[in-house]
Parts: sequence; C-alpha cells; structure tokens
Amino acid sequence: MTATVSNLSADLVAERFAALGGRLPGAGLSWLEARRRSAVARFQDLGVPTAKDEAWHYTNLARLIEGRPLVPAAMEAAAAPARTNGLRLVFEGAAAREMPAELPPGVTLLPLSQALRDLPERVREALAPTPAEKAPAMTALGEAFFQEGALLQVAAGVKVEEPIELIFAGDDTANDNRHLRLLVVLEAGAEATLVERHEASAGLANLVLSARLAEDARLTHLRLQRQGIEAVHIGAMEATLAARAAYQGAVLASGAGLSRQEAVIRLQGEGARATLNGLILLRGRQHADLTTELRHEVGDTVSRETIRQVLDDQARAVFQGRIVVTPGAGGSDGRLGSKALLLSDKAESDAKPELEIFADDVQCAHGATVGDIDTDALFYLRSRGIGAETARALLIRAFLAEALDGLDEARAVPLEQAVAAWLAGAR
Amino acid sequence: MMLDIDDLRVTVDGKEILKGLSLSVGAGEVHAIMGPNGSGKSTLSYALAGREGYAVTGGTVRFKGADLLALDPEERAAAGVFLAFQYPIEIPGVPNTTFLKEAVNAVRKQRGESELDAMQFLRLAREKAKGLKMGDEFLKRAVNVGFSGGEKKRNEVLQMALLEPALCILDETDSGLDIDALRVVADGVNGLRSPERSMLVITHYQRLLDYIVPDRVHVMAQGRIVRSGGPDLARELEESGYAGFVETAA
Repeated sequence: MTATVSNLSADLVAERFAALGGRLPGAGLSWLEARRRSAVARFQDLGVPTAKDEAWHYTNLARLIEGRPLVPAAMEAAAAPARTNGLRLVFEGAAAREMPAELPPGVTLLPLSQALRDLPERVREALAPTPAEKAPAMTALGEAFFQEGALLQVAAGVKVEEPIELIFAGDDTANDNRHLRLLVVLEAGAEATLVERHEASAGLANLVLSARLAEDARLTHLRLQRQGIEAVHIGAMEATLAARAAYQGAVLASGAGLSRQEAVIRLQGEGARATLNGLILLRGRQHADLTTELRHEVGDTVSRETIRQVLDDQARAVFQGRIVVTPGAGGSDGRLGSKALLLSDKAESDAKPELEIFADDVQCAHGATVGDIDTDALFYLRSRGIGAETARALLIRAFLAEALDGLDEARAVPLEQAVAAWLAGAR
Repeated sequence: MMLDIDDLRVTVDGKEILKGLSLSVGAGEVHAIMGPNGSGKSTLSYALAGREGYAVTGGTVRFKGADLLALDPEERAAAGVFLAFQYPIEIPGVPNTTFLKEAVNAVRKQRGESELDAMQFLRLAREKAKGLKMGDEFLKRAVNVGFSGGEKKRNEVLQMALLEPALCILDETDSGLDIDALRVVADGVNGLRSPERSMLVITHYQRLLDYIVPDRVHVMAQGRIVRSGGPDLARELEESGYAGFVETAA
C-alpha cells in the first residue's frame, strides 16, 4: 500500500519504517536507530500538518499535497558516486552521484551515507544538538526516513575561498519522494560559502539542514530553489551561532508548485550576527511559504532579515517571520522587513511579522508592505525609449536589490543570475 | 512640419480636458504654450508622450508626417519625442547610469544605430553632464532619488542631451527653480537648439521665456489655443494676466 498523505496513519508509518529501516544509511548504528525511532514516534504524534497547525496556517500542507506519496516505497542500493573535480556533491533523487576527488586541507565533504560508514562519531556529534523527539512534523519525518544527505565540516581556522556546492538534480516523477539530511559544521574561526541548488524536476523533497557555527566562524549560505513546477519542496533549517559567529543566508524560491522553507536561527553567543534574506519569485499557481524565527538567546546579538516577494498571475506567497528575544538577552538588535510586489490582481501575499520580546533594552523593528508596480516610474522609463518589458524588469530588479544588500558582489552572482533568468520567463 | 496637432480631444478620468486643440510647430522652431492652471497644458504634454489614462477621443497628431498617436511611449521616444517632466520621477534602486544607458541604447537600437558599450557610454554621459555642471556623483546615484529640484531638472536636460530628440516638450521646466538653477537649465536647453530640433515650452510664467526665447507664443485656456502671437504676447500676458482669455474661451 502506498503511504500517501491521505492515508498516512501511525500504523502505516510504523509499517514503512519496519520495512525500510534496515536499509537506510547508518543501519546497525544503535544510536542512530534509536534516533530514527524517536523521530517516527514524534511524527506519529503530530501527523501531516494542516491549517489547524499555527505554523501552517496559510499553507495547508495536508490538503495541498493530498494523494502524494510521502514515505519512500523502497530503498534502492545506489552505485558509488563518481569522483569529480570541484567542491561539490551532486544528488539525483535520493542518491549521491558525484563527490569531490580531492578536498582542501581541513575540509570534509561527504555524502551522509559514506560519512556514517567512515566517520559515524562526527555525524553523531553534528546531529546531537537537534533532538529528533522535539522536531516539528516534517522535520521528524525527515529524521526518521532520511535516505541520504551530506556532511560538510570545516576545521578550526580554515578559510575556504571556493564556494561549496550541493546540487540536487534529477528527472523525478510526481510519485518520487526523498528525505535528505544536511549537516554543516564550522569550527572556530572557519569560513565557508555553501551554495545549494535545488533543480529536480518533480517529486517531493524534504530536507532537514542543521548548521553549527563555532566562535568566530562565518558562513555564507545560499539556497536556490528553482525546481520544476511539479515539484514539492519542503526545507527546514536550523543554525546555531556561537560568540562572534556570522551567518549570512539568502533563500531564493522561484521553483516548485509548492514550497516551504522553515528557518530557525539561534544566536547563542555574544557578538553573533545573522542576516537572512529571501527572494520569492512566483507565477502561475505557485505557492511558496517562508517561515522564519530569529532567536536572540543572549544579548549583544544582531539579526537582519529582508524579504522581497514578486508575485504574478495567481501565485501566492506566505511570509511568517518572528524575532524572539529571550529573557536576559538585553542589548539585542533585530530588524525584519518584508515587501511584496504584486504584478497581477489575482496574486496574493500573506505576511505575518511578529516580535516576542522578553528582555529590556532591546532594539527591534518589523514591517510588511504590499504594493503594485509603480506606473509613474514605468511611464517615465518608457518615455525615455525603454521598452515596457525591460522597464518592468528594471523596476523589479530594483525592488529586489535590498534583499541582496550585504552580500559581496561575487557571492551575489548566483542570485543575480537566478533573478535574471526568472525575469526572462524561466524558473 | 515637425508637429501638427489638429482638433485634439483628450479625456482624463471621464472628463474632457483638451477640447479641440490645434497647433503646428515647424522644424527648428521654439513655441511657448502659456496658460492658467487647469487649462490643460500638462494634459497636452502627457497625451503627446503617450501616458496611460490620457484617452484621445478625437483629432489627430502628426509627428514628422506620421501618426504619433498610434505609437507606444517608447516608440515615440525613439521617433524623437522627448518630454521633460514637471515632476521627474524618483526610482530607488536603479542607478542613474543604468537608466541613462538603457535609454540611450534602447533609442539607438530602435533607430537602427549600434549600441554603445559601457566605456563609450560613460565617456558620452560624463561629457554631457559636465556641460550641465553635474558631477559624476549624479550618475552613480539612484534616478532622481535625493536630488534637489534643480538637480532633477538638470537630469531631465541631461537625458534630452543624450537622447537627441527632434521635438522637446518642456513641461513647467521652470517650476521649483531658483534663478541660478533656472539659468543653468535654460543654458542647457539653449545649447540644444538647432535647425532640426523643435521645442514646445509649456509654462505658467513668462520668466522662463526671458531665457528661452520662443519664436511663437500660444495662450491656452479651457483645453484650446485661444490666441497666438510673437514673443511680445508673453510680456503682454505678464501684465494683463489670463483673466481676459479665460472669459474669451468660455
């Protein structure tokens, strides 16, 4: 029996796990099996999110992916990935196809199945801070069933200049589904740029990423989600920052019929700074949800979040952004702003920015606006000979510019390219 | 004839503003259109530039013999019509250089000329900007954002100089300018006068016409040209005001 969203009972989840568990990566590692089992139990408790779940209020997942298989039907034995030049892992479906032939000193970049074979203790350490039994539903499902994934670790003081890429490709069909677990560990003073490219044509991808930045570590993290329109993309991410660590993240979502990015960033050391930007570009009947929580868990921490949505046709974007300042985290400084540009009367943007502040002496601000393209500006450009399409593209790019602020030019290139491609009609 | 407007009727928000306006401007001529507020001066300029919401309900406009009203705004610009805005639009996030280069190359392309590369364009833009006493910082800043009134108008004249139009429509170019700024802008405009270029100078006050001396002056009231004459007509209006003309038209 196919385990679809509609019939995914607790029993069926247990049955699928019993059938597959022994073939999932890391089978035989008792700590991992215990972890997977507690994740199964957690998912059995929660079930597939519906609009009744506060966090899924605007994205009724159970209804939107009704009938889709949610748990892998089988676990095929995958061939060993090819070793290629370049700092990247390439995945097709749930299998790693390419891995680097060589790595710079101090850098570990492995498919997770291999890391579990060769370096199980490192994987265990990387997983430890995020207990599976407290995970939200889709994260728990991913923790239970992950078929593959990646371990990226950069040793203390090592600065990796070249961007490290994770590419998720494949000509999946709508019935394919995969759960991938991504682990990023930057030791003290390490620096790296991670670029995720999600390009698979269809199927359901459920990704769970944990990033841990030790003291003074710096991570630039781009997630470019440009999947095919038949695809469903669900991504959860949690980053923890120690003292003076800096996280600079940008999510671009222009693909997939349905996508959800959930990010939690924990500022746990003084002087830590997180920037999270979002560029949501949708047309047709696409639906994208970006739900974020920036947590100031100690004082003297800074967060900045800039979201820009451009919505055409009947597309719908959801942004739920929360800044939390926990007790004792005085001196925190958090800012969050979201703007939506609607190119059509039927496009819709729902924004819910929230502040939860439990400390004094805090600077926090949030805001969300929705607007149309500025027809005065459009006419001004056209009156100077610039064609309507080019003029519109110029204005859209200007609107998005603030979401690229802070990224240095070289790092912003993949985002600029993705924006240009979208404006030209591609995903 | 550069511009030939015959019995033009234009409606804005369902209200007829231009009520049968006729006007002819020959090549190389500078014509001034004066009139009280609400006479339809800005409507005329927007209708000629092709702004959305300005519905032509009657009459014809021929530009160099061709039907101007059949063209999109960008096609009018390429054909050689340029409107200097009364209130130039601010466009945050678009650098002035990007805007000017896009405009110059879009127009060159439509005119069948080769596009300028970044270096060629920058050289040209700097040279033209210098003539208007505009430093490089004007090119780097976002279009009109944070510009003073005078800087915005100079930026309009800079665009005019770069796009080399055959017909310049100056809509209240003197508004918001002090006397020094007015002189710089007028010098810029006068520098563009040529036997192949015509100008339509729309103004409420005679002051601008001391600097940009017209060949012909037209008085507009209630959507029509009610009187035409030589440069002296402007001075006459300065003394007598528009009151008499408004009654004449009614």
